[in-house]
Amino acid sequence: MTPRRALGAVCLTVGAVLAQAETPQPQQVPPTFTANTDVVLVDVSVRRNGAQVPGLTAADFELRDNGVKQDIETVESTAVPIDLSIVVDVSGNPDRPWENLPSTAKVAADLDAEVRKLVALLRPGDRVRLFAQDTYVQQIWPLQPASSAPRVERVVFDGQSSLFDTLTTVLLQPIEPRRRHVIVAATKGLDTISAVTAADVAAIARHADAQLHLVMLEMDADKDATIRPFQCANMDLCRPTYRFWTPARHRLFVPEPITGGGAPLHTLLADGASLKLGAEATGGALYQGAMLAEPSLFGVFRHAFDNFRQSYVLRYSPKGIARPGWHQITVTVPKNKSLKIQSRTGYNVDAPTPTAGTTRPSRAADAPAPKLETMADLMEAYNRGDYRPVEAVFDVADAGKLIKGFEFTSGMNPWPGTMRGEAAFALELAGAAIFSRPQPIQDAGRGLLQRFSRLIQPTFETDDYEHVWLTTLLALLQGRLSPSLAEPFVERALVRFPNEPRFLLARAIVTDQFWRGFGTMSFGDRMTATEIPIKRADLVISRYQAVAAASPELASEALIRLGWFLYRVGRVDESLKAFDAAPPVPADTGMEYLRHLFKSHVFTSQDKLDDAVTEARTAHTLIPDAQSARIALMNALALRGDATDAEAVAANIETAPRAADPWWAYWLGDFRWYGDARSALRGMIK
Amino acid sequence: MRPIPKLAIVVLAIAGVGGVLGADGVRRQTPQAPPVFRAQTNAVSVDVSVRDTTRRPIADLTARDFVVEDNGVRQSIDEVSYAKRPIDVTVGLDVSGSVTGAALERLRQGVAELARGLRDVDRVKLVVFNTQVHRVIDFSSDAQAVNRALRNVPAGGGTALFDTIGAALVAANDPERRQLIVFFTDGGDSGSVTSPQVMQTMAVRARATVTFVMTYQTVALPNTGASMPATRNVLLLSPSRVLAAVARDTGGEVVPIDFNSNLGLVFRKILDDFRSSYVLFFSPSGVDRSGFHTITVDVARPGTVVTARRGYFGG
Repeated sequence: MTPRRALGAVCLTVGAVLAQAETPQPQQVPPTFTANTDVVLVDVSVRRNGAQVPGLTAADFELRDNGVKQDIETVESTAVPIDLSIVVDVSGNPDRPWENLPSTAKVAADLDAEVRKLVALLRPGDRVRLFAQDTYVQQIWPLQPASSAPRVERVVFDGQSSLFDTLTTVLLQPIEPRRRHVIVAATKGLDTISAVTAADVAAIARHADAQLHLVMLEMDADKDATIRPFQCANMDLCRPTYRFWTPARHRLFVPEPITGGGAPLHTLLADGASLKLGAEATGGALYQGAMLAEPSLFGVFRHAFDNFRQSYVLRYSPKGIARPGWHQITVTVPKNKSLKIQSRTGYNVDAPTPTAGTTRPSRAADAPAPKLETMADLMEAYNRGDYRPVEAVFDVADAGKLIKGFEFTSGMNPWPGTMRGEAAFALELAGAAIFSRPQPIQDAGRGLLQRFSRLIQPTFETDDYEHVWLTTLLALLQGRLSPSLAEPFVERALVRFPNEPRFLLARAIVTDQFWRGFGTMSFGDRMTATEIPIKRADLVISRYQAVAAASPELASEALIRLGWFLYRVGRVDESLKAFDAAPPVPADTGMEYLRHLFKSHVFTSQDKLDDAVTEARTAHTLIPDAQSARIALMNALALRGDATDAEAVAANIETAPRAADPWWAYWLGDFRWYGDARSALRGMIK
Repeated sequence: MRPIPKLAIVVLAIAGVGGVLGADGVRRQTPQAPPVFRAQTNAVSVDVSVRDTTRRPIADLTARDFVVEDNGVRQSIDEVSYAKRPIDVTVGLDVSGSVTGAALERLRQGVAELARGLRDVDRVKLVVFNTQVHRVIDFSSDAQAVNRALRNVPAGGGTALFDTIGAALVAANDPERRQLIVFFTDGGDSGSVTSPQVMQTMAVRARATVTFVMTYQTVALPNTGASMPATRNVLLLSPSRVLAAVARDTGGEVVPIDFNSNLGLVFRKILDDFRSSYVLFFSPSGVDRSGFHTITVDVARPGTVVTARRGYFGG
């Protein structure tokens, strides 16, 4: 049973989905409901002796939301179309020393045959997609009408098992209003490479808007288990030669040998039990294939499908309860207590995210600030939106130790159902680490970023959250001024978003950072401008030019940066052309300031001192308190022979109070937007 | 050596040591400056350090002992002064992220020692820099004031070394005083908008002598216990070509120091060396006034080491 938004198209949570009836209704939704509050839909299965009980009406059900009885507005059955996600297990046996594997064509053909049977059960209006889990999550086809499901032509198989990652991926697939998401997944009961745990999957399932049916293929698992002893005894192949390394072995069940022959029974292990609870929380189940008449996907789905088709959809508008938070649902049929009722256990509604113009309720003045002594405290505070105390801890604490604590508590954070909160938290924590001085702490920060830059990826297509996360990351890394650290992340971001102009600009800036300044020190990783290899210089130039060509919005910044680079490598005339080609950016005073500042220095280098003075004065006019324009003006005046004026400017430079200067942020690139990007990221956690 | 006022000297504008342009170039006098000289001729002054082979100053030279050539043309020396003219010392301290904590405290102590070594007529100015250039105290003879100012020096940030050198060169321009600029730095620059070429040109045209005190660290080698610069710090010991050129062109030097050195002694020695220098005055003849003038100074006495700036800009 699936609570879901009846009207409107925006899901409020991963799990429960509510609707505002005032929301404009999509055209395909019949204007049936006129409620003025959120609406919750709950799938309910009612059985007597294993058989579905038909003919129940709203009056037969009693539904309580957080203990408060609710008025059931309507009861529907079988009318809601299904989105079916099929998950097959094509991972290999990590223990086998040797095996004559079938061809890809054979595996694909067998898979296709099984899936065809399953798709044939669907009705017009239903949709289907197919996943295969191996070392990577593979989407064989995306969601599409069942009638147009293509043949399975190829599949990558015989790799590691990423069962938990795959289930997480499928559970988090977005759901359209008024459709039901059913997942039927088969597994040989082993996970060897997932980043998430079975407990994570269970937690996600409890909040997911999907019904999960999971079938354990014990016979396949048993076969895998016997190959090695057999080959050892009969073929003298006792050591696994198939894989040198298997990251982990999370088993869902173990066989219990039965003396006297016959198929062994199987006992669920902790991971199996977690998945069972998770599946049942969705209204689905975990099936032991050996217990089914048809121990296959088709058999499981037919079993689940029958149940699902005959279930009821209860609709109600929650009343008398607080909206945010977890809602415990209980459904009963009071007139007949012998009936077996199965529904999901609840749904969650997140607190609304503060928006511009609103303020989060502040803690009472006399209330003591909660102590942030453990990683759990930090994550909870972050989850509450108490960012400043968390930042304060990040500023002073040993970031290396914090990262260890963070990794130790993986799976125990406040965001079990989504990677978003954890990934945002990890990014900020890693930011503290990479700005630390000790190299091991920096390395820990880099490792954390590497891990989460993969974890935040939706499996197949990019999404807004990944974009914002990467934008924030690249802004942070540009501010670190360590191009060797930033470069791989920039390249990875561009793999995900190949034509994203700001990522292209980040790449150009990071490449430029390798020779920032004038590089006149001939030690360390700095080089003199004239020592920049021509090919590398051309690379910087071409990357800035690419940004200018790709994005009118960023063309000005790219050309101004290009001009400054050309000046630094001695191509002065081209430098001036770049500055002049940069479109005006009246809205960005800082960038206009830099244009005039840089031109002043170029003119000074050409001994065009009158022009240099003019440009410096223009920059000074734009931002009167900035030091760098005064420096440019002083240089030009001094070289022009205006000693007294130059001296006066020098005195002014030495005595002026500190004030913002765009030049000081020049090498930090998009770091100047880091605060904005981070705020956007935090806003997307919910 | 005759008193300087007997010369009608106009020392002008930016090319302090040599800068001799014309009376209309004088636009401002500092309050403590004597009345403006009415120049009939243009004079050039050159700071010259003369030492024996053990680096001890030689103090008994007269005008006859010096041979000065301006663009290859021998000049007649009008005046020689030794260790008498008041000195302005500008101390530039790098307080960026690379110079913090105990190192910064040692720096404070070193500058305080330098201030105590000044004569009554001498003055010291303190400029600290990271990304920003900031004058902590203007030219002052009050050693206590310098010491107090040093207690409020901020630290951290990037390093705008070239920008700061430029500002110090331009500001050190009192024609009646000799100008010494001492920069304490690790040699790095990560935040200047002034290019090294421009800064070098400004140094050539300025009056001041610029000396860099640059740090390196030593490490104990394993097994032998011997001590020598670490590989990384050997590189740090090598001053940038630009800084070396600036020191050379202005008659200064690059002083590499172990950071465990007594900075007070180092600063005092730089000041004493500068003080025990000659100032030669001559009125250029036989050369075109404009453009850069190459100066060579020699002493007609064997076993001497002569250090002087390499030229001046004639406008």
